[in-house]
Amino acid sequence: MNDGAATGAALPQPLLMSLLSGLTLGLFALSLAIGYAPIHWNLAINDLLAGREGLDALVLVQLRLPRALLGLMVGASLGLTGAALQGLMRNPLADPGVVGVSGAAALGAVSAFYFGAAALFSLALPLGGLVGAGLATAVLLALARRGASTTALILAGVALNSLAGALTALALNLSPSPYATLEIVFWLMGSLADRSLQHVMLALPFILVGAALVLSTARGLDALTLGEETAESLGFSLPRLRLLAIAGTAAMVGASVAVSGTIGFVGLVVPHLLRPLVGHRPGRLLLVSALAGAALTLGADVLVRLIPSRPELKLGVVTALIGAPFFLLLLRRLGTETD
Amino acid sequence: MIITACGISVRRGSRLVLEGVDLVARPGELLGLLGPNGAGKTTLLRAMAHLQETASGAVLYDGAPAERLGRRALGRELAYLAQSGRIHWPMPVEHVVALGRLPHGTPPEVDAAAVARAMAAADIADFAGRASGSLSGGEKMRVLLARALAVEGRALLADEPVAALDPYHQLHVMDVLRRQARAGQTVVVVLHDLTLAARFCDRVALLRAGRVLACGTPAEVMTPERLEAAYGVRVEIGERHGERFILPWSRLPAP
Repeated sequence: MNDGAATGAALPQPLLMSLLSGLTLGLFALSLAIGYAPIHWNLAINDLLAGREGLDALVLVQLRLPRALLGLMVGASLGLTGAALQGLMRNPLADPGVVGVSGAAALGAVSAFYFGAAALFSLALPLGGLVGAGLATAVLLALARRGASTTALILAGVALNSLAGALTALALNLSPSPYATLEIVFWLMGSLADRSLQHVMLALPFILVGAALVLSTARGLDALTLGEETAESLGFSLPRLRLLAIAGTAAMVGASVAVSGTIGFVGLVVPHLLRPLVGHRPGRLLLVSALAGAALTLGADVLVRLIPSRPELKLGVVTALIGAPFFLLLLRRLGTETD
Repeated sequence: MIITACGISVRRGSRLVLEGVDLVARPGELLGLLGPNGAGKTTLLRAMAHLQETASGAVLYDGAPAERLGRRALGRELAYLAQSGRIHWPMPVEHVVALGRLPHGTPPEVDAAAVARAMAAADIADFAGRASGSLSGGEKMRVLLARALAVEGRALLADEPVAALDPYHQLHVMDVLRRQARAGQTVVVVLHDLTLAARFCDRVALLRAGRVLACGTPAEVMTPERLEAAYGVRVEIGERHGERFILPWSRLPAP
């Protein structure tokens, strides 16, 4: 009781969940309401209900809805996997980028650019991303299956990230035209603009399956609070736990990067921010981080459309611009708390 | 729960850290594992908790291998208190203790009652709401002990639970362990303090270099000759109120 600052702030789970759900829903609606092409809502909805293909209905369904849905899906993926990886590694600095999957997904997409497949059909880009994420996941899973420790998995992720980064740089280096280079660089910055329902349908199954895998680790992550040995003595199989968390993360992050590019800091900052509100319990952190990740991403994506800059700011740039200084502030507070 | 180690050997690299160890831990009994650093006490305790891969031999729980019970069922029956008492997130104390209920899947009110009993037994009921990050080393050890008690299994295996504690809490934790044994649990504890071992344990096993030198009551096992052979130190043994105390006194010259 004498340390209310650390524990007294915990909110009842139902209250926290409803607050975050409300916020996410509100920002989703806002994301639908904002856009460059103006729409008349009455017309759009009447057309939709009647099954007519009016211009307003098209703008809503083909432009705004995919963008809002992807914001929701990608944000939830980043928040959820960030929380799961921090719990798995018992490290508040872990994030989806750490395990190397997002780097590999980016490399896969860049390869699609580089070899010209992206010019042939539009889904080559996300498909390339999924292939990249899949390869990185296969490496991580092989290691996890052989009983590699969590530290070994992090180091493998760091190595995969460096390799993916180097190969991406190589692709830029050897890129045949400055136009292609520019295209790659812009794509790497991360954005939800100009995506279609095809992108949504491509990413959705991976994100749903990944979410189910990650959410099933909640109790195991709680047990890991006391270290791997104690978690095992409580009846949790560590190889299985690592497998579920890593495979789920790879599916969600791979699919997210494949359709949106790399969007940083959401997975790092969101769990960090919410942890005191759930009494520092890693299992309880999962679902709320998914909601808050979705809210943050939708909010940031609304922001990039409100800022009057042309060309539009890239979402990944904005999340990093907001996230990095904010994270520094958090770390400073963390530093003084432990002193 | 009767825990039987049958001829277990454990290999680390090319070195055998346990070599054909036989040991039985019985319900109602406080069994101490003694020996110098590197003798294999922790490895033996981990093997008895089914946390250690063995090169040969088997550990049986009431005569059955762990595989027949399953990892989760064993988690309900056997609590393991690790030596490195780290709590990685600053959770409130009562949530830390409640982690001991994870294998059970019982209704919240059953869990809450078990947590309350465990906290009372470990004498930490007064800091239920505190953040575990604010605990001293001794307080943290008692919280982790309460976590292990909250399992309410039939066996409790504790690795050096008193190493970081002041004398008051050393005696307190030993009292708790003895009480658990008297209540019918199988309690195995790794100890370095010879007097605590002599006074509190029903039986002790003295290890050296991966083998059991001797096993029996403290009076049988903890003789000056055996302790010299195991630890390489001369000991002073005295008696007070009918109980023996054993003090390490001087190092023997290296052989």
